[in-house]
Amino acid sequence: MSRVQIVQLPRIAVWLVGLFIVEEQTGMQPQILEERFSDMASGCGTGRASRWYWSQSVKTIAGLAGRGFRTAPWLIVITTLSGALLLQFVTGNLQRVIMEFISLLNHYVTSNYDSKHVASRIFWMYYTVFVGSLLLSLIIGSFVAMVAKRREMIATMTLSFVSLIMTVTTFGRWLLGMHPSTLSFSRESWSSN
Amino acid sequence: MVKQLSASFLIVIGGIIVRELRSAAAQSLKHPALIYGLAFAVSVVTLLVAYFPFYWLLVQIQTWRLGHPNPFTIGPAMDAIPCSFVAAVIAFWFTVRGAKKRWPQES
Repeated sequence: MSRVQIVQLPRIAVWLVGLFIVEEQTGMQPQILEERFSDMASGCGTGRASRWYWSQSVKTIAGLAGRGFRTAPWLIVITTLSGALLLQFVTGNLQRVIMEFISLLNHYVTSNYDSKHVASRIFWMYYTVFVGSLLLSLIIGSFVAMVAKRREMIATMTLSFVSLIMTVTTFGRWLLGMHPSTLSFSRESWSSN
Repeated sequence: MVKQLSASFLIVIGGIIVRELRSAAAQSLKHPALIYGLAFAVSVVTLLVAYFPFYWLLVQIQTWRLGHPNPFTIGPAMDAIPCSFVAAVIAFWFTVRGAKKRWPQES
């Protein structure tokens, strides 16, 4: 058995490249990388070959993502915009719905709150909103991936990037004090008590 | 901020799950519904069960950091949620991996 067959490719890198491959694209990149990796592993050692494979995988992923976007730009743009709008709409309303639901449940005992009940209510309020938002993000990500057929990773990564930009913008505005309404959630929740 | 970053991360996780499900269907796995159903069940159980050790661990870290126990544990309680989510994702991945070995693809 030759050394070429013993050396194993970095599995996570192989998996990551596989995520970005669109079926209609040629599947030559992984094969070429595999051959070069085997040559390097037998010549320079496994460690160096693994580092080289990882760097080449990152370049391949960037290339595949770019090509996937270029071949169907409108699909990516429309799915990303729809996902961002859905995320914005659903997350905003989720907080309101959960707050109203908790208020409804606690309607008759609000006047009898002690500090322990207040702490418990705040915890469950944050907990449900937090978990609900995370589950919704997962569902919306899956939904966008289902619509962007064969370009799941490109669509969801674009949506994730848009979501990050929106977060950073909101956070920056909050830091600069230009948008004090971002604090309204906690204020309203306290004043409603 | 943590919530938004976790949300961005989970959007990509949603894409990976759909991609993997499609790959499984294309590779004609023997029991795709069983594999991914089992993985989903395991990840939900992990999400619920892993919360408590993470919460306990974070309370211990808070106590160690402050030098005394703090009656307000809302911080550890919140931070334990993304930790348990990550544990659930890892459990999902390991279950799928193990199940694929147990029920390899049809020839």
